[in-house]
Amino acid sequence: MGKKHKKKPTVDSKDRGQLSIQIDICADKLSELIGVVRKQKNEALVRGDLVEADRLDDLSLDLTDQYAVLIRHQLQQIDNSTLMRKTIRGFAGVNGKIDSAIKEIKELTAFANAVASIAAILDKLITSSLVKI
Amino acid sequence: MRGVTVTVISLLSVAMTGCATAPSYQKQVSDLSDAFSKMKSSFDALAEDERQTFVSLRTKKGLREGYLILIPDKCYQEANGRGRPTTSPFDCRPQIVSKATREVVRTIEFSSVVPNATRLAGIIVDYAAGLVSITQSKDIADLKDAVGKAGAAISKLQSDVTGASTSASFGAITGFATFAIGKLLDAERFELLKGVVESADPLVADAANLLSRDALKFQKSLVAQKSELLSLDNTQLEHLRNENADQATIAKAADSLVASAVALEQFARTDVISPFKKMREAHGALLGGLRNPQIPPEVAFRQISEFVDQIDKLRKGLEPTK
Repeated sequence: MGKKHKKKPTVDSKDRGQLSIQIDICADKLSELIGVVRKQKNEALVRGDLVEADRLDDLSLDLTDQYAVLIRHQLQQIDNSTLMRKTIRGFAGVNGKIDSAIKEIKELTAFANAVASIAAILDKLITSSLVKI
Repeated sequence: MRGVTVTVISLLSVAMTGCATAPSYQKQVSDLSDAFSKMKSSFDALAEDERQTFVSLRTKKGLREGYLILIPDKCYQEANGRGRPTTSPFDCRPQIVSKATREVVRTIEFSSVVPNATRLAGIIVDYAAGLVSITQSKDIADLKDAVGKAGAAISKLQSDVTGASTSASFGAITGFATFAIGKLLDAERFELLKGVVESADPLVADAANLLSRDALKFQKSLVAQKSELLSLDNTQLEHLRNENADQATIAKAADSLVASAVALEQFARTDVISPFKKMREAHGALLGGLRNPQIPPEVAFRQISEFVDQIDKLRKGLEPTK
């Protein structure tokens, strides 16, 4: 008697479509966030705060890099529906965080930290679900 | 069989009545072909611009404080003693490495945002070259050859656009016409040109939609990355001023920044949709003229001219910026 394997729930095309939609939304929101980061960077330049401008440039560069991956997006083969749904939730979560970061800019350091955290989460999501190029 | 009968009847009617020569459409087809070639060269230029911009942006990251650009250890091929390379993995993709954590934060590996666009544009060019050859064929052998070329391009187009692979067929050249010259050759040429353009028309329309979508994606990707490069250059300029660099260096950096911004503005505002709409209309007008010889060839000519104008504007607007 062979060992019985628990069958993985298969991914349906609806989920795949959902993930693609969330990625497209994420790309659009990311583009908006990049605009806000650059606006903050420009204000730092006007103040003559080059340290802050450099930090915001680093963030904006990472976000642009991620944006380029998202609009090229090629989904990795995800053949497990649990993982697929987790990925969809992950992108939906990032989309919500981007909205919050844009709406609630109170203080520059807190904003930059929020953006850095979004970039880190997004990086993990991209690594786990997309062919990173 | 039916196609052959129709062709024979049409040829006989031309031969017997000795009526006016079928219009050649040589000029229209040639202009259409030129416009397709320009469209292809726009895609080639965009693809190269995209590659350079992609690499520049990642290189900037590697040049920032706290990061390194490293060429991986595997960027060599071991010889196995007899001068032949071994099968050890070869990897020369540059890596951006964090100095603090030694972590590879990015591997610079380019992949186009629209990998199939230049190929599809190339097939359209081959198809149009086939049409030109049909209109310029001097005898039946030439005509056969030209139809074969156009047919091969249409089959490729079908495979790229619909995913289906079939061979295109426009009916064989009739035995009656084997030695056709003069008006008979003109009539045979006209019928075959019509058959080829008819077969290709829905595919050209689909290809135009795909190319328009790809052009938009190209533009979006390039604008995002070029604007980031500009933003980084802007900060760099302020660093130069802050460090009291010499005025000539500052002026050069400022000139370059402003020139790049002006070019990017033009690039971002370029309409990349209309030319492909005109491409569909121009091909449709050519088909309309071929189907209804009572429509003056000038109608197709006007539509093709509009397409040519749009493609010229597209090329001008998408000229690589920095």
